[in-house]
Amino acid sequence: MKIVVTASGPDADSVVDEKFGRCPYFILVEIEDKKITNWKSIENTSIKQKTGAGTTAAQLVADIGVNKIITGNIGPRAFDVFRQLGVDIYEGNGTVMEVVQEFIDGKLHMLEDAKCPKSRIS
Amino acid sequence: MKTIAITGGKGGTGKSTVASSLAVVMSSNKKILLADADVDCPNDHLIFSVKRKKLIDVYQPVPKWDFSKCIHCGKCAEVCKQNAIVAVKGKNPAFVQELCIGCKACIVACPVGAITESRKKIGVIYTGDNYGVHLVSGELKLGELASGEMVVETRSISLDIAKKNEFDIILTDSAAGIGCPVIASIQGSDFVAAVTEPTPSALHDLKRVLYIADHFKIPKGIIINKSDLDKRFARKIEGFARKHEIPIIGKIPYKQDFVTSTIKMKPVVVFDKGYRDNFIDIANNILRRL
Repeated sequence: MKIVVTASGPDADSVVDEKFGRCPYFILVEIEDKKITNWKSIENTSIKQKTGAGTTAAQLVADIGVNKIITGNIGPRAFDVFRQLGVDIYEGNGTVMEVVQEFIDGKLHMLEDAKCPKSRIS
Repeated sequence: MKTIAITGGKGGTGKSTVASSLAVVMSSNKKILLADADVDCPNDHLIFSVKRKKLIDVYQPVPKWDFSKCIHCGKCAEVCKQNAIVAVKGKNPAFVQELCIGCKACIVACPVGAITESRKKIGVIYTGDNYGVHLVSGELKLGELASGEMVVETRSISLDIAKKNEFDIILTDSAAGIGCPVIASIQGSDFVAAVTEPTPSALHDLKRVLYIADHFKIPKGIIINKSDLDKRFARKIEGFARKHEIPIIGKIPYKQDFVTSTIKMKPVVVFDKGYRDNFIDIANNILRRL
Protein backbone atom coordinates (compact mmCIF):
# COMPACT_ATOMS: atom_id res chain seq x y z
CA MET A 1 0.00 0.00 0.00
CA LYS A 2 1.26 3.46 -0.92
CA ILE A 3 0.67 6.33 1.49
CA VAL A 4 1.57 9.95 0.83
CA VAL A 5 2.10 12.25 3.81
CA THR A 6 2.32 16.04 3.42
CA ALA A 7 5.57 17.14 5.11
CA SER A 8 7.26 20.39 6.08
CA GLY A 9 10.68 18.90 5.20
CA PRO A 10 12.29 16.04 3.22
CA ASP A 11 13.04 13.77 6.21
CA ALA A 12 11.03 11.01 7.84
CA ASP A 13 10.96 12.94 11.12
CA SER A 14 9.59 16.10 9.46
CA VAL A 15 6.34 17.43 10.82
CA VAL A 16 3.12 16.78 8.89
CA ASP A 17 2.27 19.90 6.90
CA GLU A 18 -1.02 21.72 7.39
CA LYS A 19 -1.36 22.27 3.64
CA PHE A 20 -1.77 19.83 0.77
CA GLY A 21 -1.39 21.81 -2.49
CA ARG A 22 1.37 24.03 -1.14
CA CYS A 23 3.22 21.74 1.27
CA PRO A 24 6.97 21.71 0.49
CA TYR A 25 7.41 17.91 0.40
CA PHE A 26 5.42 14.72 0.02
CA ILE A 27 6.79 11.65 1.82
CA LEU A 28 5.82 8.45 0.02
CA VAL A 29 5.68 5.54 2.44
CA GLU A 30 5.14 1.93 1.35
CA ILE A 31 3.54 -0.51 3.74
CA GLU A 32 3.32 -4.30 3.62
CA ASP A 33 1.78 -6.46 6.35
CA LYS A 34 1.46 -3.48 8.65
CA LYS A 35 5.18 -2.70 8.35
CA ILE A 36 6.95 0.19 6.68
CA THR A 37 9.05 -1.31 3.89
CA ASN A 38 10.30 1.79 2.12
CA TRP A 39 10.03 5.57 2.05
CA LYS A 40 11.24 8.47 -0.04
CA SER A 41 10.61 12.21 -0.25
CA ILE A 42 9.21 13.96 -3.30
CA GLU A 43 9.54 17.72 -3.73
CA ASN A 44 6.19 19.41 -4.35
CA THR A 45 6.93 21.37 -7.51
CA SER A 46 3.41 22.79 -7.71
CA ILE A 47 4.36 25.34 -4.99
CA LYS A 48 5.96 27.41 -7.76
CA GLN A 49 2.60 27.81 -9.48
CA LYS A 50 0.72 31.07 -9.02
CA THR A 51 -2.67 29.37 -9.00
CA GLY A 52 -4.13 25.88 -9.10
CA ALA A 53 -1.44 24.31 -6.89
CA GLY A 54 -4.08 22.07 -5.25
CA THR A 55 -5.07 20.23 -8.42
CA THR A 56 -1.51 20.07 -9.81
CA ALA A 57 -0.29 18.59 -6.53
CA ALA A 58 -3.22 16.18 -6.68
CA GLN A 59 -2.12 15.15 -10.19
CA LEU A 60 1.46 14.64 -8.94
CA VAL A 61 0.32 12.49 -6.02
CA ALA A 62 -2.31 10.58 -8.04
CA ASP A 63 0.30 9.66 -10.69
CA ILE A 64 2.28 7.79 -7.99
CA GLY A 65 -0.68 5.44 -7.68
CA VAL A 66 -1.29 6.41 -4.08
CA ASN A 67 -3.89 4.55 -1.98
CA LYS A 68 -4.16 6.82 1.09
CA ILE A 69 -3.15 10.38 1.98
CA ILE A 70 -2.30 11.79 5.41
CA THR A 71 -2.28 15.57 5.83
CA GLY A 72 -2.98 18.31 8.38
CA ASN A 73 -5.58 19.82 6.09
CA ILE A 74 -6.56 19.85 2.42
CA GLY A 75 -8.32 22.36 0.19
CA PRO A 76 -11.74 21.69 -1.34
CA ARG A 77 -10.46 21.32 -4.91
CA ALA A 78 -7.78 18.71 -4.18
CA PHE A 79 -10.24 16.95 -1.89
CA ASP A 80 -12.76 16.84 -4.74
CA VAL A 81 -10.15 15.26 -7.05
CA PHE A 82 -9.31 12.47 -4.57
CA ARG A 83 -12.98 11.85 -3.85
CA GLN A 84 -13.54 11.29 -7.58
CA LEU A 85 -10.44 9.08 -7.83
CA GLY A 86 -11.45 7.08 -4.77
CA VAL A 87 -8.40 7.94 -2.63
CA ASP A 88 -9.08 8.27 1.13
CA ILE A 89 -7.67 11.19 3.08
CA TYR A 90 -6.73 11.00 6.78
CA GLU A 91 -6.05 13.80 9.21
CA GLY A 92 -2.65 13.55 10.89
CA ASN A 93 -0.77 15.59 13.47
CA GLY A 94 2.88 14.90 14.44
CA THR A 95 5.95 13.66 12.57
CA VAL A 96 5.61 11.68 9.34
CA MET A 97 6.63 8.32 10.87
CA GLU A 98 4.42 8.89 13.93
CA VAL A 99 1.30 9.47 11.84
CA VAL A 100 2.07 6.54 9.53
CA GLN A 101 2.33 4.29 12.63
CA GLU A 102 -0.96 5.74 13.89
CA PHE A 103 -2.50 4.92 10.51
CA ILE A 104 -1.22 1.32 10.70
CA ASP A 105 -2.71 1.07 14.20
CA GLY A 106 -6.04 2.33 12.86
CA LYS A 107 -5.97 5.45 15.04
CA LEU A 108 -6.33 8.11 12.34
CA HIS A 109 -9.56 9.86 11.51
CA MET A 110 -10.70 9.86 7.88
CA LEU A 111 -11.77 13.25 6.50
CA GLU A 112 -15.34 13.33 5.17
CA ASP A 113 -14.92 16.79 3.70
CA ALA A 114 -12.28 19.46 3.10
CA LYS A 115 -11.76 21.11 6.48
CA CYS A 116 -12.34 24.67 5.26
CA PRO A 117 -14.59 26.54 7.68
CA LYS A 118 -18.21 26.83 6.59
CA SER A 119 -19.29 30.45 6.54
CA ARG A 120 -22.62 31.39 8.05
CA ILE A 121 -22.57 34.81 6.39
CA SER A 122 -25.51 35.39 4.08
CA MET B 1 -29.00 55.18 -27.52
CA LYS B 2 -25.60 55.87 -25.97
CA THR B 3 -23.50 54.11 -23.34
CA ILE B 4 -21.45 55.95 -20.74
CA ALA B 5 -18.93 54.05 -18.58
CA ILE B 6 -18.29 55.37 -15.08
CA THR B 7 -14.89 54.16 -13.93
CA GLY B 8 -11.76 55.57 -12.31
CA GLY B 9 -9.15 52.99 -11.27
CA LYS B 10 -8.77 53.56 -7.54
CA GLY B 11 -11.49 52.26 -5.23
CA GLY B 12 -13.45 54.69 -3.07
CA THR B 13 -13.13 57.71 -5.36
CA GLY B 14 -16.94 57.82 -5.70
CA LYS B 15 -17.79 55.92 -8.88
CA SER B 16 -21.12 54.61 -7.58
CA THR B 17 -21.93 57.91 -5.82
CA VAL B 18 -21.42 59.79 -9.09
CA ALA B 19 -23.10 57.13 -11.29
CA SER B 20 -26.22 57.00 -9.11
CA SER B 21 -26.68 60.78 -8.92
CA LEU B 22 -25.91 61.25 -12.63
CA ALA B 23 -28.55 58.60 -13.41
CA VAL B 24 -31.13 60.44 -11.29
CA VAL B 25 -30.52 63.91 -12.77
CA MET B 26 -30.37 62.57 -16.33
CA SER B 27 -33.68 60.74 -15.82
CA SER B 28 -35.56 64.07 -15.51
CA ASN B 29 -35.78 64.29 -19.32
CA LYS B 30 -34.33 60.98 -20.58
CA LYS B 31 -34.92 57.24 -20.12
CA ILE B 32 -31.93 56.03 -18.11
CA LEU B 33 -30.71 52.50 -17.42
CA LEU B 34 -28.02 52.11 -14.76
CA ALA B 35 -26.01 48.89 -15.23
CA ASP B 36 -24.16 47.91 -12.07
CA ALA B 37 -21.15 46.15 -13.59
CA ASP B 38 -19.23 45.83 -10.32
CA VAL B 39 -20.19 42.16 -10.38
CA ASP B 40 -17.89 41.13 -7.52
CA CYS B 41 -19.44 43.62 -5.09
CA PRO B 42 -22.50 45.31 -6.61
CA ASN B 43 -23.86 48.14 -4.43
CA ASP B 44 -25.99 50.42 -6.60
CA HIS B 45 -29.23 48.74 -5.44
CA LEU B 46 -28.28 49.78 -1.90
CA ILE B 47 -27.70 53.39 -2.90
CA PHE B 48 -31.09 53.27 -4.67
CA SER B 49 -32.89 51.48 -1.79
CA VAL B 50 -33.99 48.85 -4.30
CA LYS B 51 -34.96 45.31 -3.39
CA ARG B 52 -33.68 43.60 -6.52
CA LYS B 53 -35.72 40.98 -8.36
CA LYS B 54 -33.93 38.12 -10.09
CA LEU B 55 -34.11 38.38 -13.88
CA ILE B 56 -31.93 35.47 -15.09
CA ASP B 57 -29.18 33.05 -14.06
CA VAL B 58 -25.92 33.33 -16.00
CA TYR B 59 -24.16 30.14 -17.09
CA GLN B 60 -20.79 29.16 -18.48
CA PRO B 61 -19.97 26.01 -20.48
CA VAL B 62 -18.26 23.13 -18.65
CA PRO B 63 -17.31 19.66 -19.94
CA LYS B 64 -19.26 16.49 -19.19
CA TRP B 65 -17.72 13.04 -19.63
CA ASP B 66 -19.32 9.91 -20.98
CA PHE B 67 -17.12 7.47 -19.07
CA SER B 68 -18.34 4.52 -21.17
CA LYS B 69 -16.49 6.09 -24.12
CA CYS B 70 -13.42 7.36 -22.19
CA ILE B 71 -10.18 5.52 -23.06
CA HIS B 72 -8.22 7.12 -20.17
CA CYS B 73 -5.69 8.75 -22.53
CA GLY B 74 -5.36 11.91 -20.44
CA LYS B 75 -5.48 14.28 -23.43
CA CYS B 76 -8.22 16.38 -21.76
CA ALA B 77 -6.04 17.00 -18.68
CA GLU B 78 -3.02 17.73 -20.87
CA VAL B 79 -4.72 20.61 -22.72
CA CYS B 80 -6.44 22.11 -19.64
CA LYS B 81 -4.56 25.33 -18.86
CA GLN B 82 -6.61 25.79 -15.68
CA ASN B 83 -5.50 22.44 -14.20
CA ALA B 84 -9.20 21.72 -13.72
CA ILE B 85 -8.81 18.10 -14.91
CA VAL B 86 -6.72 15.41 -13.20
CA ALA B 87 -6.21 12.27 -15.26
CA VAL B 88 -4.60 9.13 -13.84
CA LYS B 89 -3.77 5.97 -15.79
CA GLY B 90 -6.59 3.46 -15.73
CA LYS B 91 -9.04 5.76 -13.99
CA ASN B 92 -11.77 8.13 -15.15
CA PRO B 93 -10.55 11.75 -15.13
CA ALA B 94 -11.42 13.89 -12.09
CA PHE B 95 -12.88 17.33 -12.84
CA VAL B 96 -12.77 20.40 -10.56
CA GLN B 97 -15.66 22.51 -11.78
CA GLU B 98 -14.74 25.70 -9.87
CA LEU B 99 -11.47 26.01 -11.82
CA CYS B 100 -13.05 25.60 -15.28
CA ILE B 101 -13.32 28.78 -17.36
CA GLY B 102 -15.31 27.12 -20.15
CA CYS B 103 -12.65 27.21 -22.89
CA LYS B 104 -13.79 23.80 -24.29
CA ALA B 105 -10.22 22.76 -25.24
CA CYS B 106 -10.85 19.35 -23.60
CA ILE B 107 -13.87 18.76 -25.85
CA VAL B 108 -11.73 19.43 -28.92
CA ALA B 109 -8.80 17.35 -27.64
CA CYS B 110 -10.78 14.22 -26.78
CA PRO B 111 -10.00 11.66 -29.55
CA VAL B 112 -13.10 9.54 -28.93
CA GLY B 113 -15.76 12.23 -28.45
CA ALA B 114 -16.38 11.27 -24.83
CA ILE B 115 -16.76 14.90 -23.70
CA THR B 116 -19.83 17.00 -24.40
CA GLU B 117 -20.84 20.48 -23.30
CA SER B 118 -22.74 21.02 -20.08
CA ARG B 119 -23.05 24.26 -18.07
CA LYS B 120 -22.54 25.72 -14.61
CA LYS B 121 -24.11 28.76 -12.99
CA ILE B 122 -21.65 31.65 -12.52
CA GLY B 123 -23.98 34.42 -11.38
CA VAL B 124 -27.35 36.15 -11.35
CA ILE B 125 -28.64 39.29 -13.04
CA TYR B 126 -31.18 41.29 -11.03
CA THR B 127 -33.33 44.30 -11.90
CA GLY B 128 -35.12 47.02 -9.96
CA ASP B 129 -36.54 50.55 -10.29
CA ASN B 130 -36.38 53.71 -8.22
CA TYR B 131 -36.16 57.51 -8.66
CA GLY B 132 -37.06 57.10 -12.37
CA VAL B 133 -34.01 54.94 -13.07
CA HIS B 134 -34.09 51.30 -14.25
CA LEU B 135 -31.34 49.34 -12.50
CA VAL B 136 -29.72 46.18 -13.90
CA SER B 137 -27.37 44.56 -11.42
CA GLY B 138 -24.99 41.67 -12.14
CA GLU B 139 -23.68 39.55 -9.29
CA LEU B 140 -20.98 36.88 -9.61
CA LYS B 141 -21.42 33.63 -7.68
CA LEU B 142 -18.89 33.41 -4.85
CA GLY B 143 -15.78 31.47 -5.80
CA GLU B 144 -16.32 31.84 -9.54
CA LEU B 145 -13.54 33.37 -11.66
CA ALA B 146 -15.38 34.81 -14.64
CA SER B 147 -16.08 38.39 -13.51
CA GLY B 148 -15.28 39.72 -17.00
CA GLU B 149 -17.79 37.37 -18.61
CA MET B 150 -20.35 38.35 -15.97
CA VAL B 151 -19.84 42.04 -16.86
CA VAL B 152 -20.28 41.28 -20.57
CA GLU B 153 -23.54 39.44 -19.81
CA THR B 154 -24.80 42.25 -17.53
CA ARG B 155 -24.11 44.80 -20.28
CA SER B 156 -25.63 42.64 -22.99
CA ILE B 157 -28.86 42.13 -20.99
CA SER B 158 -28.91 45.88 -20.25
CA LEU B 159 -28.58 46.62 -23.96
CA ASP B 160 -31.46 44.25 -24.81
CA ILE B 161 -33.70 45.92 -22.20
CA ALA B 162 -32.66 49.41 -23.32
CA LYS B 163 -33.35 48.67 -27.00
CA LYS B 164 -36.68 46.98 -26.35
CA ASN B 165 -37.92 49.80 -24.12
CA GLU B 166 -36.38 52.72 -26.04
CA PHE B 167 -34.01 53.94 -23.37
CA ASP B 168 -31.80 56.94 -24.21
CA ILE B 169 -28.74 56.25 -22.06
CA ILE B 170 -27.04 53.28 -20.39
CA LEU B 171 -24.75 54.28 -17.53
CA THR B 172 -22.31 51.45 -16.75
CA ASP B 173 -20.96 51.62 -13.20
CA SER B 174 -17.66 49.73 -13.32
CA ALA B 175 -15.66 48.04 -10.58
CA ALA B 176 -12.47 49.56 -9.18
CA GLY B 177 -9.17 48.57 -10.75
CA ILE B 178 -8.20 48.18 -14.38
CA GLY B 179 -8.48 44.40 -14.80
CA CYS B 180 -10.66 42.19 -16.95
CA PRO B 181 -14.06 43.27 -15.47
CA VAL B 182 -13.17 46.97 -15.86
CA ILE B 183 -11.98 46.49 -19.45
CA ALA B 184 -15.24 44.62 -20.12
CA SER B 185 -17.17 47.57 -18.61
CA ILE B 186 -15.39 50.16 -20.77
CA GLN B 187 -15.04 48.55 -24.22
CA GLY B 188 -17.67 49.57 -26.73
CA SER B 189 -18.86 52.56 -24.67
CA ASP B 190 -19.49 55.97 -26.24
CA PHE B 191 -17.87 57.88 -23.39
CA VAL B 192 -15.67 57.12 -20.39
CA ALA B 193 -16.14 59.27 -17.28
CA ALA B 194 -13.22 58.64 -14.92
CA VAL B 195 -14.00 59.57 -11.31
CA THR B 196 -10.91 60.47 -9.33
CA GLU B 197 -9.90 62.28 -6.13
CA PRO B 198 -6.95 64.53 -5.28
CA THR B 199 -4.57 61.87 -3.96
CA PRO B 200 -1.36 60.44 -5.48
CA SER B 201 -2.76 56.89 -5.59
CA ALA B 202 -5.92 58.06 -7.36
CA LEU B 203 -3.89 59.93 -10.01
CA HIS B 204 -1.63 56.92 -10.54
CA ASP B 205 -4.65 54.63 -11.08
CA LEU B 206 -6.48 57.26 -13.16
CA LYS B 207 -3.63 57.27 -15.68
CA ARG B 208 -3.89 53.49 -16.02
CA VAL B 209 -7.65 53.50 -16.59
CA LEU B 210 -7.42 56.39 -19.10
CA TYR B 211 -4.84 54.35 -21.00
CA ILE B 212 -7.54 51.69 -21.47
CA ALA B 213 -10.03 54.30 -22.76
CA ASP B 214 -7.32 55.45 -25.20
CA HIS B 215 -6.71 51.89 -26.32
CA PHE B 216 -10.37 51.57 -27.32
CA LYS B 217 -10.35 55.10 -28.81
CA ILE B 218 -13.24 56.17 -26.57
CA PRO B 219 -13.74 59.89 -25.76
CA LYS B 220 -13.08 60.50 -22.09
CA GLY B 221 -13.36 63.03 -19.31
CA ILE B 222 -12.25 63.36 -15.70
CA ILE B 223 -14.48 64.05 -12.69
CA ILE B 224 -12.51 65.23 -9.64
CA ASN B 225 -14.53 64.13 -6.64
CA LYS B 226 -13.75 65.54 -3.15
CA SER B 227 -11.91 68.22 -5.13
CA ASP B 228 -11.41 70.57 -2.16
CA LEU B 229 -9.78 67.99 0.13
CA ASP B 230 -6.37 68.87 -1.32
CA LYS B 231 -6.68 71.83 -3.65
CA ARG B 232 -3.01 71.75 -4.60
CA PHE B 233 -3.19 68.13 -5.69
CA ALA B 234 -6.49 68.79 -7.49
CA ARG B 235 -4.60 71.43 -9.52
CA LYS B 236 -1.94 68.82 -10.27
CA ILE B 237 -4.65 66.56 -11.73
CA GLU B 238 -5.97 69.50 -13.75
CA GLY B 239 -2.43 70.10 -15.02
CA PHE B 240 -2.17 66.47 -16.05
CA ALA B 241 -5.55 66.74 -17.82
CA ARG B 242 -4.49 69.90 -19.68
CA LYS B 243 -1.20 68.35 -20.79
CA HIS B 244 -3.04 65.36 -22.28
CA GLU B 245 -6.01 67.41 -23.54
CA ILE B 246 -8.50 65.49 -21.44
CA PRO B 247 -11.48 67.60 -20.35
CA ILE B 248 -12.29 68.00 -16.65
CA ILE B 249 -16.04 67.42 -16.93
CA GLY B 250 -16.80 67.99 -13.26
CA LYS B 251 -15.51 68.93 -9.86
CA ILE B 252 -17.41 67.87 -6.75
CA PRO B 253 -16.44 69.41 -3.39
CA TYR B 254 -16.44 67.14 -0.35
CA LYS B 255 -19.49 67.32 1.92
CA GLN B 256 -20.51 65.12 4.87
CA ASP B 257 -23.89 64.68 3.10
CA PHE B 258 -22.23 62.33 0.59
CA VAL B 259 -21.44 59.90 3.41
CA THR B 260 -24.79 60.43 5.16
CA SER B 261 -26.75 59.84 1.93
CA THR B 262 -24.95 56.52 1.43
CA ILE B 263 -25.85 55.50 4.98
CA LYS B 264 -29.47 56.58 4.35
CA MET B 265 -29.37 54.56 1.07
CA LYS B 266 -30.22 57.44 -1.23
CA PRO B 267 -28.39 59.05 -4.18
CA VAL B 268 -26.97 62.33 -2.86
CA VAL B 269 -29.10 64.41 -5.28
CA VAL B 270 -32.21 62.74 -3.82
CA PHE B 271 -30.98 63.19 -0.24
CA ASP B 272 -30.41 66.94 -0.78
CA LYS B 273 -31.67 68.65 -3.95
CA GLY B 274 -29.00 71.33 -3.41
CA TYR B 275 -26.47 69.06 -5.13
CA ARG B 276 -28.56 68.74 -8.31
CA ASP B 277 -26.98 71.70 -10.15
CA ASN B 278 -23.47 70.30 -9.76
CA PHE B 279 -24.56 66.93 -11.22
CA ILE B 280 -26.71 68.55 -13.97
CA ASP B 281 -23.56 70.41 -15.10
CA ILE B 282 -21.58 67.16 -15.20
CA ALA B 283 -24.43 65.37 -17.05
CA ASN B 284 -24.59 68.15 -19.65
CA ASN B 285 -20.79 68.09 -20.04
CA ILE B 286 -21.02 64.40 -20.87
CA LEU B 287 -24.18 64.55 -23.02
CA ARG B 288 -22.83 67.22 -25.32
CA ARG B 289 -19.73 65.12 -25.96
CA LEU B 290 -21.73 62.07 -27.11
